[in-house]
Amino acid sequence: MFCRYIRKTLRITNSIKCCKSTIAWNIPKYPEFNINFLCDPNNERQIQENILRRKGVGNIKLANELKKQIEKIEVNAKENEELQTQFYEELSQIPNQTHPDIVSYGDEPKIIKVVNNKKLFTFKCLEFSDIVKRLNMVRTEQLGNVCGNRSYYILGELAELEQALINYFIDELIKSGFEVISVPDILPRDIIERCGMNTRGERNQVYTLESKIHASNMCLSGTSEMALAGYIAGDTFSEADLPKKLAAVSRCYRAETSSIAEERGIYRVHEFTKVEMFMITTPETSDETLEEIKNWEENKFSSLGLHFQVLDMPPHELGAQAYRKYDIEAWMPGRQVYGEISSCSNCTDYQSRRLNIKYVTKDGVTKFVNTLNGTACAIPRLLIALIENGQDEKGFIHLPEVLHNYMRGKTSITRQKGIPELKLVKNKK
Amino acid sequence: MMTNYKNTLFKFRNIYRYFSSALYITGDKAQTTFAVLTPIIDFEKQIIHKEDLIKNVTARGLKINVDDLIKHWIFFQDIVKRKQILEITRADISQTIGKLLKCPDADPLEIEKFKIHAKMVKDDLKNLKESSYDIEETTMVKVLSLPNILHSKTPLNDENILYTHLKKPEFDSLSHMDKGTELKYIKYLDPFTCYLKSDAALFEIKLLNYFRQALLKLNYIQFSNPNFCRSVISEGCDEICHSDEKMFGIEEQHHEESNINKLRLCGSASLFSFMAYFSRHLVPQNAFSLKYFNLGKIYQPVKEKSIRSLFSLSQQTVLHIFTADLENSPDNLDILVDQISKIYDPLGIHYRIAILPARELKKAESLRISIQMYSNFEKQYVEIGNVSLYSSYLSKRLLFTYSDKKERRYPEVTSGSLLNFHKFLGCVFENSDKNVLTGFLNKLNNV
Repeated sequence: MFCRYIRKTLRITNSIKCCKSTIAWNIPKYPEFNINFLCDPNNERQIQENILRRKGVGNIKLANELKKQIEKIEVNAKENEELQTQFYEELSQIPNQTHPDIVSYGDEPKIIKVVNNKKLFTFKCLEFSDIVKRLNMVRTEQLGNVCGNRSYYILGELAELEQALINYFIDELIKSGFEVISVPDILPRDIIERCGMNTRGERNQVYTLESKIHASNMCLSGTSEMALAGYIAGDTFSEADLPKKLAAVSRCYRAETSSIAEERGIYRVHEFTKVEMFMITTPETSDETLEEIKNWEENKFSSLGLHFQVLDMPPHELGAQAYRKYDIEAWMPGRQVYGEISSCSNCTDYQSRRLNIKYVTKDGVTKFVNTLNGTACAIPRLLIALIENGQDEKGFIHLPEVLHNYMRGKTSITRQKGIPELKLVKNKK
Repeated sequence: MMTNYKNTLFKFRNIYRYFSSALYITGDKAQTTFAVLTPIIDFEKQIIHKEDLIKNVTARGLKINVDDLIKHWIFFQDIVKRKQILEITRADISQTIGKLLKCPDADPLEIEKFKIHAKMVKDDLKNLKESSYDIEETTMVKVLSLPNILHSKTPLNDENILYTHLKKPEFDSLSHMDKGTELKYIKYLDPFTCYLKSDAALFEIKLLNYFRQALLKLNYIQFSNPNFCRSVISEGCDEICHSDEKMFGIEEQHHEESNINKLRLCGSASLFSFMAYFSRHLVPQNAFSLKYFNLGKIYQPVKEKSIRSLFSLSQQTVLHIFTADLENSPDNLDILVDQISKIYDPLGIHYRIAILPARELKKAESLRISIQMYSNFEKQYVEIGNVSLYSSYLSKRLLFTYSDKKERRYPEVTSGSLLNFHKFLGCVFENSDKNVLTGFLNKLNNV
């Protein structure tokens, strides 16, 4: 009875347009949550445990309480509409379920694979920031007042290397059957939130355009995963068209800051370029697809000669949208640490329910698709790994063979003589 | 006398809208906004060639009354002088009081008289300082809103076509949006949101790489710039007022509202981004000429009700070049046109290169080379790229300097979007009745 009522409500609300910034987007006002599962009193304990395990937000008790209140009120009452909004607000806070394999991990990730060996050096390795300063390849100083905090310029051959990596990864993705999409970097708040990212409050990572001046509720995308998910919002695929493989190069904006010593320099920055993979599958094949993405990433980072470890991440490290997530950490010999250079996640139907992305099975049944994403190439971190591993004593950076063609045949790069040394001018009136 | 001053100051404060500039920070604002730099203002020199300035302003069609501005300037200079006189007087009086205090025969009444005088001067100075900040800012903002000098080759009336490649395609065409959507290359939702799909997305990557390779061969150096800049840079490169309409502002956590040096999203492939790199920095003289480029985005507010078009989007993909030369270097116009044609000709499209007339220039531009393709739907040429000459205008505003015989000099900047991909793509769709992207992709693979 209740489900029928909810379905009826959803049919009504689906036709209601959303806030101004999302008018053009094909997304429902209220997501079509798995109410049967979420609001089954028998599942309340399990859902609560999952929230605690993931150290996330969400109050399933309150959601169930709201559901009971809604059932007592007339469908057309104004109060009902308010309760509906509150009810869906609460449900949207509940994180995705967690893959059973990782529930027992506790707080630590599990190293599931180590690829290649640590490169041995006969001299004391320098870390990225010292190398690029010596070779005049990155500028980070004196930029806060002209470009914003933690800004950076990548210069000369290192900028060419950035481009070479993008081109290499794009070519490899095309070979693997991905369709490249050119995506917008400014998105409505709704799209970002429905992908599982919080955009409000003190510690959120999302930049917002000045609402007093520009269109309200427009944010800068933190990853092209959101633009790609928005791209297919409201679409219904046929099962034969799945899996669908999309990829994009985009600038990613993150408002986060860090004062941790390990994250100094350009390790954690407010903007960077990233090549992203996004896949749409049936629920039955998404686990397998996550393994495919992970294997693809392993294969590519191995082709760059990097030593890295693959981690199966514990529940509390997963974003609200992820069901399972693998991280890849490359060895950075200058810093003497493993640093995250890539990750991939299976979001099951978390995003598709919120963005109304469905498929029709061979038997004609309409279901929600599963979505997955993975980092093909995130620039600053990958540059750090390549530069620290490629350094020699004489000030040359030796490049992986697969990149030589993308670097106009260059096998190494060195000090950038075409970039002048700058001297700060004293301010005087 | 002081009362007269106060009255006039009050009148000035009421006449002009109070506008806060991040480029020119007055003493009262320096407590909340860090003064990043002080622009070089050489209005005295401009006044000497007042007729040239008036001609320039008229040719550009600007509504600036030069005579009024000169009056304001003189008035402000008068205040500066009066402040100096008061400061000298105050110093003199305190010196005299000091001497008298050391003198055992000094008349206490005379000391008291000087003390009263000193207090009056101090109060006058304080009042004058407080009220002059508005005048100072208003005057400086007006002076900083004057345009760059016009290049001798900038036409006063019509654009000057320098080069044309191939014949203009004369047939009628659907709009590029209709064609692009029909061919499933474009998914457009609003000016913020335009996806390019399949071959259109590949074309974007390949064409920009083609331009990149061509520039590297011409010894340009690649930069990868940030996409943010602060208001001081946007005001230094463009107009001081109207920044909010022309550029996105970003809400920043922990940024005081009184700090007017706001964070803005300009895009890495922009003049702003390059000028931010060099602002308030000195470059060794022997490093010139500088030849750089960046491949990335530009972001700009577009009216929400704009027509569906690739020509007016909030986000566009651009290849931007930036060069800087020593002062009084011969202009590199011919070289630029030659370089542009060498890059564009092999693409096999009709385009032309024109110098735009004065009225179409931005204030900072001295000359603008416009690269144009034809829109068969709109039946007019569309600018798909440009390169502008800025002389030393930007360098002086943002303190980009070099030293010549221990004297500070200001490099001449030439900069522009050599290619705006989205505009280029729109024209490509309209210039042919067939699906041309496959052919372009094959061509780019072989170039």
